[in-house]
Amino acid sequence: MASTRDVLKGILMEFNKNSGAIASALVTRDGILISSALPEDVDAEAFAAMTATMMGAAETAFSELKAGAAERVIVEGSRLKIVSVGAGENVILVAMASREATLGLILHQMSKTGEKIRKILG
Amino acid sequence: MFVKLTTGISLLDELLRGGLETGSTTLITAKPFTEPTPLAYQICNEWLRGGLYVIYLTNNKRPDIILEDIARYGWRLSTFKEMGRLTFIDAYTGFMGMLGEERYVVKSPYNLEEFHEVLSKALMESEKNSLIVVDSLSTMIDHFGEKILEKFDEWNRLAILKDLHILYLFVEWDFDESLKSAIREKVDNIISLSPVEKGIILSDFFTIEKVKGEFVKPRCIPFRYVKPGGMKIYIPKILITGPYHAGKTTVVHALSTRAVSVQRGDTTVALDFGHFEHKGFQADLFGTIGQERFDPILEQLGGETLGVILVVDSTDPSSFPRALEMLHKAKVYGLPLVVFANKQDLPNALPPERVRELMKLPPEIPVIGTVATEKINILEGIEELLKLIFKGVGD
Repeated sequence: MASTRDVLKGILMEFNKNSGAIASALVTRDGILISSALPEDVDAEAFAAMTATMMGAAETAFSELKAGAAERVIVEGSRLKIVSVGAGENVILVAMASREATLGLILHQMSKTGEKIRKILG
Repeated sequence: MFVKLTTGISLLDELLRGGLETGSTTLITAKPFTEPTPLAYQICNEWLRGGLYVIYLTNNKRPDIILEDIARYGWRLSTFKEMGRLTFIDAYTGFMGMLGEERYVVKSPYNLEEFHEVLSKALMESEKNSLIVVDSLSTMIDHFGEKILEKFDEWNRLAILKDLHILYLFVEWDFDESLKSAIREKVDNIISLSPVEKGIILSDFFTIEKVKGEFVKPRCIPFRYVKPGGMKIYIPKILITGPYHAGKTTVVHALSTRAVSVQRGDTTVALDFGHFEHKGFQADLFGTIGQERFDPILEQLGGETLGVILVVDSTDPSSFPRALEMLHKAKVYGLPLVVFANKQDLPNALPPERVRELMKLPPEIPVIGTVATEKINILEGIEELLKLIFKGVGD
């Protein structure tokens, strides 16, 4: 028997292992942290709030353009990249990986992980 | 003469009508996956620092492991042990066929009579006004079952006789309901801890179910354990909103121990975010953007809010309708709300009561004159909001 919190944390850790991501987090669309597998020096709550804002801004920009739904946000930085995707109606899955990490693998693992999370948070 | 000591968590003390009294008993009962021990550690720390004595009975961990565990929360209690103010009853090492080195040792922890004898001896020899922690009652029940109830009465009587406070820790595994309710009847206070999965937000709550022998209407208070720091009442979202240039960012930063803002020039373009910590409370503050063109994001950020601070520029009454409109757009109208009539230091600032009139705010909404740049009345303002959020709690 394990709590939802433990299960989600386990899923994130497994995701990090399979995708090569350094860190990942689950965040509500309104910016509250649900669960995270982040390095200790990262302010997880602030990271969650900013990621949700980023996703929200992207979706708003897209809908203003009448360009359909925004499916994911990818930010490529000098050292890292961040990928956010929807994982259920009110949940965002965020992954942080090195700049060199393979985007295809990360996206593939994110969609698999998103499915699991949808089932758990139903 | 009863001595009343605090738990170190102001809201919890308020709910317990002032704290824990000697000559009485408290049950900290936790649903699986929540832990009663960090709260017990926090109370031990408070009593030891208050100059009193603590006796800690353990039947599931070694005493040195407990001290290490406590140190992770930022409390170094080993010095109190050296001073003789913290004493352990080791009812654990015996399980492994070894002899513990503490002042009190239960050599064969499977033997209820020996257990009872050692604990009673410790209670009899204890200093007046000591705190006795029994960690844990659930492990005892695992070993002794219902037989424990007779002894339980005797320990509670000793608490009265010797002016002690006994804190029983209990994890609600699959025990017999009648046994559980018998224990609940026999203690004076009950603090219960449970994980609540409200929607997709995962949080822990504590509930006070019984105070001074009376069952009370349970109230749920969200909390989390932090290392270091222990139990903190935790509010995952307080929204700080208001029109353009009212001073929202300054308020977030003035209230926060740590804050981040996404700004271009002196205007917020995405979100101000800050951690607030004060008197045992922790909250995450979400400061929104003022300009209308960002309203779709405002709507998104309003979700899951527990309380709102509306910041208005007291020199600019033309912005007041916009302020009220923002509450509606964020869908937070009706939640606990405090209005900061900001920029009170400027010569043409309207007094808070005038701001209330112009905004047609009902009397139950506090309007507080603030100067965010000087941090004037900012803390007082959020304290008002916390009171509203936990309104009815403690009365």
